[in-house]
Amino acid sequence: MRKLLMILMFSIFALANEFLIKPHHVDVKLKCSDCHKQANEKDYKALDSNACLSCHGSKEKLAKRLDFLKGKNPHNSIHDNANLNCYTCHNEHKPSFNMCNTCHNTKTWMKEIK
Amino acid sequence: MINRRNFLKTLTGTTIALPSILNANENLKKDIKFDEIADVIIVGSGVSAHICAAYLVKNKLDVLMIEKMDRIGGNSVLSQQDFAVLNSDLQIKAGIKDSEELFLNDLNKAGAGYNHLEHSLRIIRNSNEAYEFAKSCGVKYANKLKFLGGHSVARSVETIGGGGACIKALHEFFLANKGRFKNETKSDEIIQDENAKVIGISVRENYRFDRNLANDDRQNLSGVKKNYKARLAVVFATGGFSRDVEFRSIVNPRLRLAKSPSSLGQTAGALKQMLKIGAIATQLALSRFSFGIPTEDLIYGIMLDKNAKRFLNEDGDRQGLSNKILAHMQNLNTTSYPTIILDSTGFANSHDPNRMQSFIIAGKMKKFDTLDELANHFKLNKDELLKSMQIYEDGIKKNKDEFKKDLSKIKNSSMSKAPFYAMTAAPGLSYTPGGVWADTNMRVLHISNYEPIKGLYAIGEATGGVHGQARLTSCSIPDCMTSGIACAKDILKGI
Repeated sequence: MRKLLMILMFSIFALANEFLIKPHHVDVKLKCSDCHKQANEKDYKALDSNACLSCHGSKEKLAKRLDFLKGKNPHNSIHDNANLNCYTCHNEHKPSFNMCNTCHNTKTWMKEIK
Repeated sequence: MINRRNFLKTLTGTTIALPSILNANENLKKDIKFDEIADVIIVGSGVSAHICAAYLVKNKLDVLMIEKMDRIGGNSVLSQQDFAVLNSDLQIKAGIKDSEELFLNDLNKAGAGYNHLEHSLRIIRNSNEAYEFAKSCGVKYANKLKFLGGHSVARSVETIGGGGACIKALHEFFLANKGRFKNETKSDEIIQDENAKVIGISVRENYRFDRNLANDDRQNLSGVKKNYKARLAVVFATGGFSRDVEFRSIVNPRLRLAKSPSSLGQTAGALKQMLKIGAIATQLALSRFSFGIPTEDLIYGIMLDKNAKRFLNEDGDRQGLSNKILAHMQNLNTTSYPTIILDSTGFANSHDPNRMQSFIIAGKMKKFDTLDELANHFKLNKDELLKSMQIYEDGIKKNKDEFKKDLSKIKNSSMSKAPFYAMTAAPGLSYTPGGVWADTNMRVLHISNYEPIKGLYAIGEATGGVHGQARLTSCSIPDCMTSGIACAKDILKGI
């Protein structure tokens, strides 16, 4: 019985650990349920871009803010325009991924991706 | 739209007697529940897919285009999209004399006998029609003609804004003409009826490609399974497999060592679906390399392997050099790429100094004041490095290079004047010429009898045998566009 409890405790602990929230979202006191609308935690699913845009505004707005980068604007690039989903680069529960970096050296024009 | 009667008419054509082994095919399913129906389903969203789709929707067909990635446009949005066209308006205006014979001669020279002539001619003869059609859909071309390597005359037009702008224009045209598009939707299997006619595909919607998997096609279980029905045809515009290290290493072990500059979705999954129902694998071992630096500038410097030794004549095209580099790495049993070194005199000789500067700004090429720094950075043995440079210099003095480089072409470049410029020489597999075999109407043929697999087409980089040993620069776009239009016309002809 104790063994079972231990395993149970451990698995709950592991779950909470697996889905850490990024510091900038912790700062504005976001909780899991602010993004995941399902009543039950075990029904949580991967989100689409609309979840992000409900706070961050439209893709056009996000593209405009980086207008000064011209063709190198990751939110409106010469390759993809504004077609990409947020999660192609940005992740909440694991390190984000700079897709531009797969071909370009982005150090000269881009900050660390959150 | 097609009415029912016309559609039934297309089904009453004669069917080919098929060997009984085909009837055992698990894809021949009778009672499938379909979740979605369209006249034509196009798998992929690059330039072949979009041109074919644009032509079909312009002719009022109901077209559904699916793309497994989040990104629209596959590898096409990464390309510059120079476009070789025979007798374009720009060529005529410039008074350039071009002909089918000249163009064919250029393609044959690059293809080295591996290119199927009927496909070379399909590209040549329909290139201008495709170019004019692309313009009519809103793709914009610069008012200048390019005279590119391997072409005997200036015949390449330049896409304004490159592949990104081209796909954007075509996608808008497609949607404006009632085309339907779903991204993150992956084809898993081709569905055939009891007569082996392709009637649809089974897909997964809400598919999320995972770049961290060794093989996304095999390991990724995301998405919701659905079946899509195609009234007329399924078109595979699924590109190449240059990102699929596992698969490309089987078809040609040397390709394991190449870098992959292509878009992440370039895997062999779609090719395997076609092979599974009897398509013919054609020239899968062929490769086309990109190099990261204009190869015509390499002649002004030297290339050293991981032991800091020269191993080739640096004067060559990217295809030849890339093959030699990978072969040498195989011989040394190493995964370390060689290093390109130019001294200040060689660097100054480069044909596009601005572009070289941009490589330095981007960090691709590095500048070193001393050879110690250079040797440390590239982990080269300093003594061996100095020795190799000395041998090269001595060769220049004696006008006799140990690798038979024509020293009259190096414009007095040396290997002794600091600062030095160096970068890694990594051949990148940017295009896979192999694929499935299709006729000039782009119908995929069956391996048992070389007859078309009814209802299945393949266009663009997904096909094999078109370009042969080396694809001529700016000839992918005319292939993608003419094959897309040929396929669309054949579908329309069958109604």
